[in-house]
Amino acid sequence: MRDGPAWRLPLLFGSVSVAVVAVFLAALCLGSTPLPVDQAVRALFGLPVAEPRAEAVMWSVRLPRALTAVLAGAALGMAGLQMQTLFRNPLAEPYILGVSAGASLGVALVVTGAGGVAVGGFTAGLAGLGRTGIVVAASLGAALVLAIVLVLSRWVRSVVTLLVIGVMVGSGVTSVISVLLVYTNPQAAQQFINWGLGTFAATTWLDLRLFAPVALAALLLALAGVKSLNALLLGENYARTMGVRVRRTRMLTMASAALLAGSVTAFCGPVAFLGLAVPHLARIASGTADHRVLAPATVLLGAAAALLCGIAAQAPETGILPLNAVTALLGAPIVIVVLVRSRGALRGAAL
Amino acid sequence: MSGSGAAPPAGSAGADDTGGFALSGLAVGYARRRFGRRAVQPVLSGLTATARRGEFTVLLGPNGTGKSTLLRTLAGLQPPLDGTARLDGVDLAAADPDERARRLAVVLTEREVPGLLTGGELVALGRHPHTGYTGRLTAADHVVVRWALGAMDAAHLAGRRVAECSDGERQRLFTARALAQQPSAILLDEPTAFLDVSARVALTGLLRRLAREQGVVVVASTHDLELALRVADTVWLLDHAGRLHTGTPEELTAAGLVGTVFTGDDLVFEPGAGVFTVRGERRGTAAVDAPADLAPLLRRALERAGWRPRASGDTGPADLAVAAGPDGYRTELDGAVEHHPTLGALTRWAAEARPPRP
Repeated sequence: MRDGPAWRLPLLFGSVSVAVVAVFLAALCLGSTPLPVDQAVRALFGLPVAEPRAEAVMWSVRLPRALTAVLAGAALGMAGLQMQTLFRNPLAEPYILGVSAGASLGVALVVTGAGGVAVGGFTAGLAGLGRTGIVVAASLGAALVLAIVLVLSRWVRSVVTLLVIGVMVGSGVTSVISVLLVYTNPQAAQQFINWGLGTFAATTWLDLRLFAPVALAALLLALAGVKSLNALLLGENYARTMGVRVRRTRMLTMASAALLAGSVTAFCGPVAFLGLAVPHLARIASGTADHRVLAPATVLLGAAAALLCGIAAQAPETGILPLNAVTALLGAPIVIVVLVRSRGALRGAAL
Repeated sequence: MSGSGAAPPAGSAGADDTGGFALSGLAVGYARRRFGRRAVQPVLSGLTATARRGEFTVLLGPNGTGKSTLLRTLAGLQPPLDGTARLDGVDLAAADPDERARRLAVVLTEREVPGLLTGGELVALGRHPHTGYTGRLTAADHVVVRWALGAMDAAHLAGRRVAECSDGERQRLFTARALAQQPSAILLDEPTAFLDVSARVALTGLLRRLAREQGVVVVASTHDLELALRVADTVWLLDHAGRLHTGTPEELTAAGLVGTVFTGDDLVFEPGAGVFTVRGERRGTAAVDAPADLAPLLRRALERAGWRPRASGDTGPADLAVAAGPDGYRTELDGAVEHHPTLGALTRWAAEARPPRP
């Protein structure tokens, strides 16, 4: 039950949808060689265009990049919303369970060619596969950490303990990566660092053929859980007394969030800050804590925000900026505004 | 003593064997699995009690006797170690979570809410076990939410942010949320803690009305003994040994149980008045001569200072005689007459004065 003006939600979803379409078009037009809107649309539909390379640029660079940004933004926003509600913590984000650390470890192992005798041949083989190797390694790393955290969650009662375990596993894995990087050649280390800066531009159609179904399936799984997320707003004890099977809900929420965050990390690198900032943006815009509104709003706003960050990172004036520098520059002020605005911030209730 | 001896009050229609709560041989506590072995730490065991529909049942007991553990077990937040708790004949521990949520709603001591949640949204969360897969509220659900808000005098809070409500308003909203589950029983853990006197009395009155008018089983734990004894239909009293005594407030008081459980070094329960008085240093008896509106205050002030005031009408001998006059208070102690301009001055003097040595 929501009180307030009846036009607020239609206006919200109407304007955000328009914004997503507009930013999507802008993402198709802007880049190293800017295209006018009409040219971009013609190129998109295979009509003859003035610029000879326009169709190739559109279909092999711009469109996959824009679609990747839409998927990644939606996925990270949704996963962030799930984690913030599950842990009842406004600073929770998709990587809080250590998923991106696991993915990073997989990539570091491949890039540096490190690993013991047992893993050595395998990672060397993956390294030979280039981009595919990195995606597979990141997925395996993310899945490994997810499995560890999920198994531990069966024994852990308190959600705070779970949060700490996630952070600890992440820290441990990160320190292993640091050790790996110290003993590797500078070129490989640089390659790993570049991967860690994140990008929407590296995704091919082949990648999207896997990334899109996985991300969309995980999004659907996450959206199916909004009713339980609402019940979790008052904490796990209240949720239990309202008929929520808390352990099952917790597992499903963590699994879908990790799938979302893990797939993004595998294909785009550990894209930071969107997952933390976008749910807050959705809360400000919708003025509600109801996940039946927040979840779709977060998905749309996440897509728009990721597209914007992608445009800023690829703008012809700036050259190519690291994506994570852009997301943080955009995200940090939003989070600060949210915390300052929220009267509950001091009690940690900024959700 | 068991609850079966208590006569059902007028209006409790469903006071048969299946209506309401029935605890039989219930044991509550904590079970831990250590190295594959189950280590059981019972807090309370062998609990047998009933709480009827349409009645306001209060769970009383000193701190640390296991009130919260019992309520958490009844709420399904932890499994019972032994015995059963049935609600309307259904074993709660065996019921599936949705089924239990439609029969039983809970108001916990946790009251942290997300900053954006409004009162109406909070109460609507109570519809959770009744809504479909998406959680969408139907027109009928909205009717129930409005009814629950109205029943707790909280209709005006529907559009307010819960985080901005006072403690009393927040507690009414949480109770309305429980009511929106349309349960046949509501459990409340310390609902009046943190509330000021008027909010406490208002909430207690609402809970009692809820039980009467909606035919709900209401069980609330509280520390507010004096208020509880005044408004409860049935009392579940936990003593220090972990025994659960049930009955009407008067039954338990008459049996001396309330006094035994709660009388401490500093407090004495006065069964007749249903109140506690401070047990202090014994100084001697005092006779009070004052107008009817002033006399109770004078008695209380003297009592706190350690004197035993004579009841009004008792004209027996006293160690201290106090008389209120138009311009102050006159005291006579051991032949010495003194004059005190204000009630405060008299009280401070009385705390220092010593009765004559025999």
